[in-house]
Amino acid sequence: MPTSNDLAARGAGIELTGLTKRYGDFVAVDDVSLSVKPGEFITLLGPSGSGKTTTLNIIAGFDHPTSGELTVDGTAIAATPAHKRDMGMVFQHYALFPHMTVAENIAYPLKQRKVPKARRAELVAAALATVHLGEYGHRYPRELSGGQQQRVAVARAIVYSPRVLLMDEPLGALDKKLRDWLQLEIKRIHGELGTTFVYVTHDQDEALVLSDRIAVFNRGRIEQVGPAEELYERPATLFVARFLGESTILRGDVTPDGIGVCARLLRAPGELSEKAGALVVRPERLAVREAGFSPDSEWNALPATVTGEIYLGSSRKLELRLPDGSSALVREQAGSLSDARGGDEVTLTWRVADSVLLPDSPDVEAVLT
Amino acid sequence: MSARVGRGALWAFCALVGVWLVAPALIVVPLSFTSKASLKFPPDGWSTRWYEHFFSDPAWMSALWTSLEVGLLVTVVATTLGTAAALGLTRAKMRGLALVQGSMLAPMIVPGVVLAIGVYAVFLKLQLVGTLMGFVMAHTVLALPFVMIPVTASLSGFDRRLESAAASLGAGRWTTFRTVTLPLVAPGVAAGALFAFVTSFDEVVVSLFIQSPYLQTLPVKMYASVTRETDPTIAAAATMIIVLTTSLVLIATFFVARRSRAHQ
Repeated sequence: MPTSNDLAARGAGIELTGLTKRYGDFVAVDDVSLSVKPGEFITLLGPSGSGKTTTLNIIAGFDHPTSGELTVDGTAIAATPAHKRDMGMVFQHYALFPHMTVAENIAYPLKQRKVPKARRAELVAAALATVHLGEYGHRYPRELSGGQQQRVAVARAIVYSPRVLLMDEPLGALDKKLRDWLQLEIKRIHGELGTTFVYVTHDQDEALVLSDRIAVFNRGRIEQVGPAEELYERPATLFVARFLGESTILRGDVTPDGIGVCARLLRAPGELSEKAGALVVRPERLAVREAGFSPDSEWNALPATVTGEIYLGSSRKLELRLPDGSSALVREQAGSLSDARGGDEVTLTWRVADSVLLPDSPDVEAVLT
Repeated sequence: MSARVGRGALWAFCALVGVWLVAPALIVVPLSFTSKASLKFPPDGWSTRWYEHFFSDPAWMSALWTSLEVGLLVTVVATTLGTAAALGLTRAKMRGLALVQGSMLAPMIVPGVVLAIGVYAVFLKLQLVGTLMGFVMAHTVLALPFVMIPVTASLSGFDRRLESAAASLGAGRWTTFRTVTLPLVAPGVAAGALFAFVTSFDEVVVSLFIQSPYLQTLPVKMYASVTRETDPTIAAAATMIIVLTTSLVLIATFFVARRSRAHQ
């Protein structure tokens, strides 16, 4: 019985150093450096036009960097043509060969590698079993659904045990339910094979579910690289805080004692060399207390008005308006709901250590909307 | 009521146009079966003697073989060059692209006789007049646009990401072309090959200039025959050309239809 064990490969380490790609005056990828560990699942996350796909295409060999270096397991491959890089690639629109059956599609990379016919059949069966499409070998791609076609594309990209698998928004053309299921499939396959995965998406939830580490792209640069938890709890830039998850952003002038917001001096968890700062707090770190409540020195407090509530079963979201007109978002877990209702005057509090002080960058909103 | 009359009139008009288009070709068929040695229509009696004459006369047979030989060579050369040109021109990003494209399609627009004089002048100097190579070269020029047009049309519907996919799977450029691009644009290439053959097979004007008494294509022989002998063998030859080209086109249409059904 063929299994994914037949396809296991030791993942390769990838090193990008100062990678830059210019198209005329436009800089698509701007001095990107990234170190991907062998067997790691890394996601390049960012809005469209942020340079993540160009970076992937450079790794695949479809695009050539204007400057910078690219090595796989220590070997420079910038001059190696795409077909000799021995990487697997899964495209958003499947890119299956319509004139070949599913089995012929999957056997294609094996033929290029002159794998003997009998071994070819074994590996095709193993790849089909890995994506749970054992019975579909004789079908043509047009006879399969979108989700099935993408699984065939994955099978075709892993059948020759490449040491790197590149995926360019592979679930972008599928509906939500299918996407959720295929995410888990991809995660499982990554676990079984040991191959290094480089995954491109603009969907933060997808990135959170799949990745060992996430590299957040913005305007051709990497804003931050790290495990999902680190990016969420300790965003390095306002862009990362805004792009990944929800947050309340309190803008103000930074002084050595804190940050001035709504005519109050709030305590901040650190200092900043810039004058314009933003205090970022995640919704589940915020709490709502009665008006006039004054917490101890470990906490910050601001008066606020509840403007809306959304009950979500396992949690409740409260929308609040602050004295300066900006808004805040609170998420309360079921079992510890406050009795605040729409229209109530309340006090918004959070532990100083649960907030992050970042330099303000006014153009963040423009990029995101 | 008036709608029915209008419909009837439309049918009648269409039938008339149909007859107008097909009749000249069909007149030749009964003519080829006449028993008399004249091109009188309608014939007075029937026989197959002109077919027998066609196949027993070495001059006619040699003209037929020359035409088939030239036609097949032109098919190979023009299809190869035309496909390569279509591939290059749909993907090239360069200045003057339209000019190159235009000049490749020029043989379709330039009057045949102008082309013929030019070809004749050069071939005289190169001693290509009356040679197989000369016929193949001249006909290839004429056939190129008829290959480029259908292949370009096929390529415009071709998803180039499939080539990226093939490259990522380890296929070099030539392998990718052979195993992915070519099979998917094959209907266009086949149509081009067919047009190339037919273009060469029924070409008269340029062939008249570059023929010699020792090397004639079938249309040239037919032209000579009608001006000198008025012998119904020409009608037999014409009928066979109609049958050959029509069946080629029908077979091609059949295969393209089946293929596109299979790919839907």
